[in-house]
Amino acid sequence: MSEIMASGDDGRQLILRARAAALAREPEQSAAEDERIEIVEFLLADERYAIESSYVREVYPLKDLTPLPCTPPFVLGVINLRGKILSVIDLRTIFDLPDRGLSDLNKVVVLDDGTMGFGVLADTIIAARWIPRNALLPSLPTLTGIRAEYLMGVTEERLVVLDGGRILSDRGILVHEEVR
Amino acid sequence: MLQNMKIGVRLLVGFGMVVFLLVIAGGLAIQKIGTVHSLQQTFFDHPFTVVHALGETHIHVIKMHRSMQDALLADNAMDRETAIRIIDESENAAIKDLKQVEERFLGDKLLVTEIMKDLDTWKNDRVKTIDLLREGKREQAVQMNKILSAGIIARVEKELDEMEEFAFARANTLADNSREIRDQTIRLTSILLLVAVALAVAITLVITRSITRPLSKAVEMADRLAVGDITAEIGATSKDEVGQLLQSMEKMLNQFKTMSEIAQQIAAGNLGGGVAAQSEKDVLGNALTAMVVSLKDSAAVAEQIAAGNLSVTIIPQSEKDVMGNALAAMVISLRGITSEIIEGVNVLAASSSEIMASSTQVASGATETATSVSETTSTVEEVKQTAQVSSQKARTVADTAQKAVQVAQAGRCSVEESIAGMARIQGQVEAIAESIVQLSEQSQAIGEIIATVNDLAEQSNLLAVNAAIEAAKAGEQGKGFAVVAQEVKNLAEQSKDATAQVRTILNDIQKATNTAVLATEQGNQAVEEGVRQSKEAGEAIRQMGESIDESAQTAIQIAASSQQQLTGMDQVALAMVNIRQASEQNVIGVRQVEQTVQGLHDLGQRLKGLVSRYKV
Repeated sequence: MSEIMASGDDGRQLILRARAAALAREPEQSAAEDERIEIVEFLLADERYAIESSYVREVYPLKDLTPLPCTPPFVLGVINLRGKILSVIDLRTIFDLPDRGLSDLNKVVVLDDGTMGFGVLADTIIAARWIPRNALLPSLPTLTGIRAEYLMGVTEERLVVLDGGRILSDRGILVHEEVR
Repeated sequence: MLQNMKIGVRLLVGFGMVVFLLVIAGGLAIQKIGTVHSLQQTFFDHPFTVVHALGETHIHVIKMHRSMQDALLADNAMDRETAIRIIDESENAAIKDLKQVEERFLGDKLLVTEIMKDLDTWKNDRVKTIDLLREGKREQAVQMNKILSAGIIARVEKELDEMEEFAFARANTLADNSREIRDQTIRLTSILLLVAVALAVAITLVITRSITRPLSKAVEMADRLAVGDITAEIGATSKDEVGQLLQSMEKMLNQFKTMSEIAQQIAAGNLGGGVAAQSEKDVLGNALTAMVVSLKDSAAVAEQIAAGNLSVTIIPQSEKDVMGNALAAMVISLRGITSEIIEGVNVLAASSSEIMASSTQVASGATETATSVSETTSTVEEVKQTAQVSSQKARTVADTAQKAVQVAQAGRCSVEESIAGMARIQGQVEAIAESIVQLSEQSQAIGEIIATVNDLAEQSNLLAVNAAIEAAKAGEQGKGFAVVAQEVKNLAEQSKDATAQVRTILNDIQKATNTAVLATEQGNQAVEEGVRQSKEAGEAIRQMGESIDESAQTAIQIAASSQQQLTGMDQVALAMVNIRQASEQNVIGVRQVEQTVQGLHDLGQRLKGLVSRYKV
């Protein structure tokens, strides 16, 4: 309101028209129900990633991280999530992303498919939203190895959608080491 | 009668009488001493010797009696014989003493014979007793001794006492006689001595008076003569030596009177009076004659000198001729003085001419001086006015300096107030700095609150995402919930934006605060600087005040000095007026001097004429 009050009559007219245009826009719900997937979008090392929300149990702030010795570098440590011990992994190490720039790394996206569960480290949780399935483009040919393996697709907005089921079922992530 | 006796005869008569009296007194005393001596001899020959012998006899009788007892008590024959021998010795001594008594005793000599008889009787008894002892009949002997001896011894002692008594009586009589004669002698001798002394004193007084009275008269006359008094008269005189002396003195007086009359005539200048010497030995008369001759010579010379003839020559009679020497010296001295006077008169004449010329010059000089003095007087008047002006100026300066002193004091007060004000400002600036620091701390707290709010927005966002996930899981029933979740998410984002804006503003505030802190620091320093500078200024103003004080003092002194100067100038002006009058009088005086000098010159010329009369 103050914005409106501050502007002159012309400004007021412009703002009111913009709002009217926004309200008059067609909702994207025209696409079929099964054609849509819900994703949880998050930032990691200045890149936007998303995971299908059916694999996401919840998001949680990273608190009381306990580092674990004798683990591979991608295992950051364990946290206590309401009485349940949950391991936290760092996708940057797995994806060979550079460690440059400041990152908050204070959020955890908790993945769970009923058999397997762990937390994935994130800088910021952006939102949970719906995207049409056909908006997903096939993965880039430049991506190889494990990155190509975990990738579900990339949207036009350069949103990298990860395949939660594959990450959860990947045997490479399991850790079994003995220390003598 | 006494007056006409010679002095020697008088002395002989007086001393003869005194000696006669002394001889009489001496003879009497010698005769009495002889009498006393004979009495004393009698006393010694008789009573004294008799008493002594009687005492001895008494002792011997007692000794015999005791020895008899010893003999009677003796145990052996030897002791007894010793005692008997002592008895015999004592008896012999007693008889010897008794014989002496018999010879010298002046009383009844029968007493002595009786004692002798008693002693003989005792001796016979003793012989019998001793015979009994020797025969060994001691008891009979003791008995016999007791009966016989007791009576005899008592009688002998009684007789001895009687004789002693008589002798003592005799001695007393003799002693009384002797004392009487002595008293007589003392009385008589004393009277004679007193008479002799009185007579001697009387004679001495009479003779002394008869000699000293005329002699003292003669001495008085001689004293008067010695001081030149010849007016004394000598009356009637006696015929003794003093009288002859006084007659001679009278003759001498008459001679002196004659001489003195002549001398008085000479003293009065009369040299024509005849002086006749009485004899060749009349030294005084001859001397007077010679003196008259000498004085006549001197008078002749003096007459020549009086006539102006100074070339006369005088030969003194001897070195001691005072008059001649004096005349000679006078002539020589007059000659020298006259020469000098002539020279002096010449010089005086020349000098008076010169003085006349000089005094003319002096007169013109005095006139010039008078003119100059008049000019000087007017100049002094001008100087006096200048001094008056300068005195007024000096007073004004002193007043101004006083005002400056007051201003300096006011300035000092102001500076002290400004120092106090600066101190207050310092305190306030410190308070401001403190407030700003507090503000900074509070904005720090605000930053923390903003962080908390941001955290809350973040968590709200997460909650919204989780709600959306849950809504999706709920399927169709969760659709409404999804909308709510979306709204919550929007709110969380708005909060985040708001906090971002607040943070920006807060950052600005913190920057401003830092700037303010710096500014207050600088302000503090500036204030300190100001305090220091104002203190320096205060000190400078104080020194300036002192300087101004000194200047004021000096100005007052200058004013006083210039006042004194003005007074001095007044006096100078007055003095100059006096000087002017004096110089005018001077001019008049110099004119008079000129006239006087003209007179002096004339006098010198006249003196020259006078001096030319003397022959040197």
